[in-house]
Amino acid sequence: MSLLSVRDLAIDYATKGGSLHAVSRGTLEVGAGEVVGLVGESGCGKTTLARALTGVVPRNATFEAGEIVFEGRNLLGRPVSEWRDLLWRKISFVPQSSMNALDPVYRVGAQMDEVLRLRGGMGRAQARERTDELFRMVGLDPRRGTEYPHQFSGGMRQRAAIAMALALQPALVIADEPVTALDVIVQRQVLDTLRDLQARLGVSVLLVTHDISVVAYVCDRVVVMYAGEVVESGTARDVLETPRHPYTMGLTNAFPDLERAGGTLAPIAGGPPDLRHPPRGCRFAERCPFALARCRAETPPLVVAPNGHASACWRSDEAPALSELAKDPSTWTLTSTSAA
Amino acid sequence: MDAYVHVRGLSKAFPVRRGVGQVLRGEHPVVHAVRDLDFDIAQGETVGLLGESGCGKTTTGRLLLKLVEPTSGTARIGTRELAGLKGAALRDFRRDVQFVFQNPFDALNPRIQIGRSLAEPLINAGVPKAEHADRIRLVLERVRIKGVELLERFPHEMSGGQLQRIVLARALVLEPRFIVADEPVSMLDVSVRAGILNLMRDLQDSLGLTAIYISHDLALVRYVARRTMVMYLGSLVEDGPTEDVISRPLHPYTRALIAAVPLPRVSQTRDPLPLRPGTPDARKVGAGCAFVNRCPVAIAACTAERPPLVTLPGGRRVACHLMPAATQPRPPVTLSPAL
Ligand SMILES: Nc1ncnc2c1ncn2[C@@H]1O[C@H](COP(=O)(O)OP(=O)(O)OP(=O)(O)O)[C@@H](O)[C@H]1O
Ligand SMILES: Nc1ncnc2c1ncn2[C@@H]1O[C@H](COP(=O)(O)OP(=O)(O)OP(=O)(O)O)[C@@H](O)[C@H]1O
Ligand code: SF4
Ligand SMILES: [Mg+2]
Ligand SMILES: [Mg+2]
Repeated sequence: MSLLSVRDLAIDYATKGGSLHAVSRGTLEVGAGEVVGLVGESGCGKTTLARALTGVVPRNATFEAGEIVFEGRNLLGRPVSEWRDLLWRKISFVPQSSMNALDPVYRVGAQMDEVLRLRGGMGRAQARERTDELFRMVGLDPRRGTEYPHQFSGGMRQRAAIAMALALQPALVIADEPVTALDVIVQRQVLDTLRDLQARLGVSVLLVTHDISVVAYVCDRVVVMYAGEVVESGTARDVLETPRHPYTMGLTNAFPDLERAGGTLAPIAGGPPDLRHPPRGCRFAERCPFALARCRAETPPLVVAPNGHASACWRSDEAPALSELAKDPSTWTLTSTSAA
Repeated sequence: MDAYVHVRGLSKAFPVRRGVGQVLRGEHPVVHAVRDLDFDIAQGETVGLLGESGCGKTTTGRLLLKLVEPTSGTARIGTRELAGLKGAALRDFRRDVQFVFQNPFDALNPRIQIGRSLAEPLINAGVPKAEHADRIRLVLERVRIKGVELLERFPHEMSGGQLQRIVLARALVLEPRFIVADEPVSMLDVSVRAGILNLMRDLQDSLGLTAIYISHDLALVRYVARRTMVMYLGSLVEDGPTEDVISRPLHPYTRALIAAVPLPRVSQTRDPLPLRPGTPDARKVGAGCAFVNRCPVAIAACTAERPPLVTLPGGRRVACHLMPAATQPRPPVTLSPAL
């Protein structure tokens, strides 16, 4: 059984211009001891979905549908107090803005200490030892715990936030872009730390990232979102090497690769749809080089193949052939031709 | 040729809180965020700035834009010496140079709507009100944000990547001559990112923009900057053409950095990095090389003496005792099979 299972989650934001459907098909699983990547274009709803799992959402957000089952219990509809109770102890969250994880008026070490003593019930000496250990784990000198968050560099704050989330060894760590501000050496150190916790303690991780290299390095499975919907999921190998959704094909294609020199990047032309008025049919159709008439009329369902590789595309059966076409940059510069 | 950015001996130390013992001994510990930087940047040149988290990249950028004052050293941007710049001259300077802040969540006033944040620089620079709407629309197009509806939103109602583009737009709206972009696309996915990077290239060409591009993403730096500088614990340790730095890194730190770059492929080797375990500490200022405690090839001289930044035949610069200027710039030692 999965540790976390999210089904058809829908979340709206109330805005001046009407409801913005930030997440409309949030469907994903995180197994015990699994590292799962959540990827997708800027603004596609990753943070909204990830943050919703903690029960703490912005005031103008509402849960419209779906379920969030954690350790066999559906959390949606339960009192928020019960949900909050799980935070820190069982589920921890590293926000995209590391400043939000740290209180600017307290010294970094003291904040860590408070989490360990108040929430973890540790004694003074034990908490102190653990704080030092956590600092070193993310490559920070423990002596710098006496400083305030503004005295840290961007990446140092990010690492302090990660250390804080790992403090009580929760069952599930949800981390929103945790390594964006880190150089590759520290990034590797942090990712190795997560891997190690997963291996030693069976900690599960949901890692929000836009970085395919990070997914390839550390994730067992990956979930791809587009315009509020999960459009593909499966093992990292299946999704990255044999993608079944054209958006994923475009994504893996436009990535700069240090080993393959030169060339210009082939971005996916166009932009995401307005989430207040999502289009009928497949939301990717407007930018998809392979769209057919049907794509614009009917929403493709998320279909799970026997090997667990799921995708929501009417042409998934043709994936190997489309994938070949997708490797040619000119495929992405043409606007969809087959709009018949 | 006269450099556009001219930096000599630039240093910044921040005081830190003292322990009881240090108070008793009368010590004043500091973090040496930036130490003795020497470099020139030509007009229209874009330079990538790489380095470990906490090594002083942001501080360097802030020094160059006079957002903090140096402890020692000098910097000149264009014709302006930064020391002593004030009043009207400082205001003019502020119009010509822009900083793109690293964390978009901190960069904008949370209580002000996006539209007003974008208009602010225009107001400050005295641009006629009638031009504001057009200029904002144009710059939003450039950073690939569509929908003027966004202008009425507050920062917390935007995604990370959207905010990052607003911060960039704010820096570009006055068409500056020099920018320091601190991780400007770190939260953007590849499809948006490619558009922004192409924009940066265009600006270099069309406006002759001079830029420092801070990023930990080597593939990115390579895309926008022909030259790259690498810092370690406050000091410049390597400087040269980006292609050379990536394909033939000289400084042992740069080598480890290149070896650590993850590839977007599932099957990749995970060789241990050519680094000794250890935590860099900006508080300790040893007499030797700042990298000595983690360097896999350190020799006795490295602990005793700080290696100067020397220029090798061909113009690359590197600060490492194993890299004597007199010899050919060939790596003298093999660090690991991965290299
Ligand atoms: N509080 C809010 N009120 C209204 N709209 C919001 C709010 N927060 C986010 N949005 C909008 O909801 C959509 C999804 O935002 P979200 O932050 O989940 O995206 P994301 O996938 O995390 O993007 P990024 O990679 O850029 O961080 C975006 O269009 C964003 O503008
Ligand atoms: N206002 C400050 N007070 C005290 N120390 C500071 C201050 N600003 C920066 N520092 C210290 O100076 C050093 C360099 O910081 P800086 O922000 O320049 O690093 P960076 O290279 O930009 O790192 P990152 O990649 O993590 O953003 C760090 O040790 C940091 O803690
Ligand atoms: S359903 Fe159609 S438009 Fe959507 S991704 Fe598949 S082929 Fe493209
Ligand atoms: Mg986000
Ligand atoms: Mg920085």
